[in-house]
Amino acid sequence: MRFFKTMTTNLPTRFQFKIFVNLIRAMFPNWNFFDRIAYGFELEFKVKNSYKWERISFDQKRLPLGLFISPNCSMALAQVNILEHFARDIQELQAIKTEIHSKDLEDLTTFKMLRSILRVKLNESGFEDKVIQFKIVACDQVEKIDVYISDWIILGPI
Amino acid sequence: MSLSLAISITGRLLAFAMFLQGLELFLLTRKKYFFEIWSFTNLKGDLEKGLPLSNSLIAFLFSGVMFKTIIVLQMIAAVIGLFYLDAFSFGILFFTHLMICIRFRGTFNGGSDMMTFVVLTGVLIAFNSSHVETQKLGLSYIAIHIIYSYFKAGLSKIIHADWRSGLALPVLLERSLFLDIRLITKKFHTKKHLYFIFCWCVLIFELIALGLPMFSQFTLYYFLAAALFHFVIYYSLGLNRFFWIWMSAWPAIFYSVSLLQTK
Repeated sequence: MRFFKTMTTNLPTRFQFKIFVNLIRAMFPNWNFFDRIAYGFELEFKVKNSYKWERISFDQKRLPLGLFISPNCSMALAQVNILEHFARDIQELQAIKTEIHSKDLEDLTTFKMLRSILRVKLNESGFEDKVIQFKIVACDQVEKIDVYISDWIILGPI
Repeated sequence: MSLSLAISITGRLLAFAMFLQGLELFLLTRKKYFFEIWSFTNLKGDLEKGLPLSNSLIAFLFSGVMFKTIIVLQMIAAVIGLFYLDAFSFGILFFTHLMICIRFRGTFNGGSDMMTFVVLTGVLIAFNSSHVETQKLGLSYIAIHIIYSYFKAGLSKIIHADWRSGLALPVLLERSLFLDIRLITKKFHTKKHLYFIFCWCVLIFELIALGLPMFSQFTLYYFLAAALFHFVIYYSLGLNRFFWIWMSAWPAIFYSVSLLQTK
């Protein structure tokens, strides 16, 4: 009884069932693999005083024992997934709000994770500028569409 | 294949697959930047809104230290499960897999995480009962899901013109994380008939899965095709986890399909 009380003390009043279902969605199989070949998503950034957008690469090399374990590849796939989730979050926000403010997006978990991805990727490549702008680009074989362009953000240290 | 042998092989292959999953994550958590992206700070909002637990308990259960502990626990339970097929070890694996999926906001690797739950559930049903019929139910649960996963994947694709025309495959391969795959795809860009054939090979392979219960004599051939299919998926898209977890389910299919043959 005491354990149950401890578990539920200060239960957040902001519990959202939809997020709960999302967190445990792996328990409810969905076998729609690669059904719709819609847009792929790319992450690009630029620095101040530059007009050139540079693409963040998630490319990987195949390891000899990669069939057994391939941590870098699995992580890269998970990072690309974050881009797709962010694009989906934007679409969902657009569906429920007529006007979206920067704060609405910056509060998203996927935005925070994207920001971290940028911090990591730019740090890995020895990039020194800490103030950047980034965008998510939806691509297919015919066109590229800017889904989202951020404000100038300070990446901060890792 | 006997019931006990099917349960044994399924359980051990599952344990092996989950050991590999745990090892992969263990190596990732040792990378400097892993917890930068999947930090508790970043995930806190979703976890606190999505779990009916107190904030302090969430902070404890999903901290970096606890995450590493859970991964190590998974690896240990998987090694035990490889040698001793007991319900307790696989119950631990169910718990660790759930905690890891939640930590990754639902899934780390999509379909492979879902199939891991399916095989775990079937194995736990089989292990938790001494009744033969219940054990058969556990394996049948896995077999039904696997066969349905192939068929549903094919059905979801064939309704889209991109797959029927052969356009889908090059688009998919051009998004591969491997440069060699992207270069090969571009090189054969003009060979549209090749992609048409490959697309239809995928569609037919997935759709005919539904016929396995009725034509069980072809199960071995379908299994070999499936092994090749999953290997190609790994080689072209890097999805190594899919290979092992789908392979772990195949003894259940062999057994369940043979049940229909004997009736």
